[in-house]
Amino acid sequence: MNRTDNNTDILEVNGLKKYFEVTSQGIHKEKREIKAVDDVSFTIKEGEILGIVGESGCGKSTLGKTVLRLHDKTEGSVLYRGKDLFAKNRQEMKDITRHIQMIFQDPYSSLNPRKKVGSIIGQPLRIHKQGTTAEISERVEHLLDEVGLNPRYRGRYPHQFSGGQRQRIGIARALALDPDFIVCDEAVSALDVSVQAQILNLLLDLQDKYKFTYMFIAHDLAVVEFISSRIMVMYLGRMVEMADKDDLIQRHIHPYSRALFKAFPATNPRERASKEKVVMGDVPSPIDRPAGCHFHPRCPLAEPRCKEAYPPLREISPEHSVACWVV
Amino acid sequence: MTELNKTTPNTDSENPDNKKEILLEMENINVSFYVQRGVIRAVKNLSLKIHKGETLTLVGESGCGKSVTAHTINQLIPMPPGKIESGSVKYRGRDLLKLKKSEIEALRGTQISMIFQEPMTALNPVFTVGEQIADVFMSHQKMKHKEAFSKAIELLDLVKIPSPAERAKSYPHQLSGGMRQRAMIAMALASPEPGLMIADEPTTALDVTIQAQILDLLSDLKKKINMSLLLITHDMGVVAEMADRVVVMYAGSKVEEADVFQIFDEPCHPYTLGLLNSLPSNPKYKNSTRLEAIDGTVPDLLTLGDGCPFENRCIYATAICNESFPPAFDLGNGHTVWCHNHTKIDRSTNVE
Repeated sequence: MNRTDNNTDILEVNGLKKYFEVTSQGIHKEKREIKAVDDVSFTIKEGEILGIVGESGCGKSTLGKTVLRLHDKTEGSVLYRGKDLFAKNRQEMKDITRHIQMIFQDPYSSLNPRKKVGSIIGQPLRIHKQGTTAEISERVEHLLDEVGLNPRYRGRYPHQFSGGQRQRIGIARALALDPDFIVCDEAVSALDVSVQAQILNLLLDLQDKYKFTYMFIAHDLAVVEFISSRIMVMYLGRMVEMADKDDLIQRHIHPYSRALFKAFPATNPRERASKEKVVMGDVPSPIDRPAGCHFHPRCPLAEPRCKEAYPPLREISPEHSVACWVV
Repeated sequence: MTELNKTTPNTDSENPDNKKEILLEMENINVSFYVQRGVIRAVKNLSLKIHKGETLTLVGESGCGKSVTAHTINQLIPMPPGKIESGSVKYRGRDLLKLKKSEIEALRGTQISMIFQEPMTALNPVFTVGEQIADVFMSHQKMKHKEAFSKAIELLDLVKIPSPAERAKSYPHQLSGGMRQRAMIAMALASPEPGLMIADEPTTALDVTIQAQILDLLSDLKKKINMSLLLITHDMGVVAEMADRVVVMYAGSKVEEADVFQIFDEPCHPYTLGLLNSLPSNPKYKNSTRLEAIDGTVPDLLTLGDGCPFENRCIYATAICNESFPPAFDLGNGHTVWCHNHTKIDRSTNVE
């Protein structure tokens, strides 16, 4: 595998849409669409960490799964190193999945409770026929060591580990096939804060060592801010703002990004008094998105045109795009 | 809202310096759970005071005993397997642990109320929220249904639920997470004189913009009603926003207690310092690519010895830490720390 530090795009997503069809219960079966991911385009460069932040129901997890083809798309394309994932057949896809892996949120439900840890981590190696039993076993021990677990633990079951240790097992499994692109879907959200810090450090150490590219999905702005090199803000299926981390921290332009930054709890009790109040209202249901700009019912700057049509994404400075009519 | 104020008996509630009056005092509480594998000592020798009108936050990670502490106050600990081994919980001078079941039930609905983390499981799915709030008035204040229901609507308005009269007729599943939590808060206020509200991770299940709204609401209500708030959280951000005083817990024991500014400015326990350093939002990480994490994991409460529970993760640990639990060191101004080596702590890189 050639891993270069230059600016080649490892992933290119064009106009990706993922709609789910739901049928309401009752006599009149009514079909409706949830537009979980709606017309999202972006690229991820080799070796960067793209953070995706948004509240529940904004489509960030669906986006993460769709770019790995764990969901089928509704429209659009996903190119991994120039190869369209959705155009591949089963065998070709299997070859590609070696390089693209995922770390899941819940370390309790993402590990098979009936299998020993050694077997869980070795599973991808067996599926892809990576060596003999002895070689696989050696690799498993190496992987356990790599994620900071004692290789002797390979004979234990997942329930014998704490949450943080289980997340390490999930990471070891994702590393097994030597991937270069990893989607971390809320990888640290279920963990206590002291353990969360350990796992974030581990993910960064591994990235330094193996030059991974991460797509890091989280609802916690502080975590995304810390780990990412670029950040995308999503709201109800759409990308509303995207910029380099430092740029976004200084200038969050979209009214929703501003609300998100403002809503984040203070890090010092002295900031309490100076804090502004946040937007009122709730996140609408993704099944019933407001027409026009989906944020307009909660937006302090909304104008009549915001109700008419969804604003196009425009670049306001290099590498900084916003979808808003007003700002 | 004015109604609720009027009905408050003429105690010191209008007195601005009522902070001195102690509303709740826990002394030497020990709670254990007898499980198959042994005895879990969930809370050890815990004492705390809540003053009138004050917000006390209990902060710590999962399994540190913060919820068990809260459940001890209004006696929601399942017994068995749980057992309150010793200690007293005095609320306005009465020891709650000596009350009869009916007396504590009366107190729960009127003076000590609780809101939970997951409002969907705490609300009854087959009754409308209005009915559920009205129920509190009917059972504790013997109100007629009509009057109770209109009181419920008043409360929904107080917690800033839009069009409260219609919302009162909604079932919990028809409300969003934030609305449900507001309804829970309304229910907790359904009393002539709410004295203490216990909020157990009230915003953990909510999105951050909704969390900010609920925290705002709780601070507003506290000012209006002059109630005390015991806020349980794992999030130092919520502590920074809400707390007057902070109690940091670790593995069942209190390790540090101070007012919120002291905790953030000069944490004296290595665990408190570690918690603050674990926050990626800590300003010291502006130009840094690694966090100063606390190594290791929380010890198993079943096998915990007599020493300091933090000893195995602590960079300042010495021989004595393994032998005995540290005594309280009073640092003045209400700042207390339980650490043998608290003088050695290097805080040089802490939050400015």
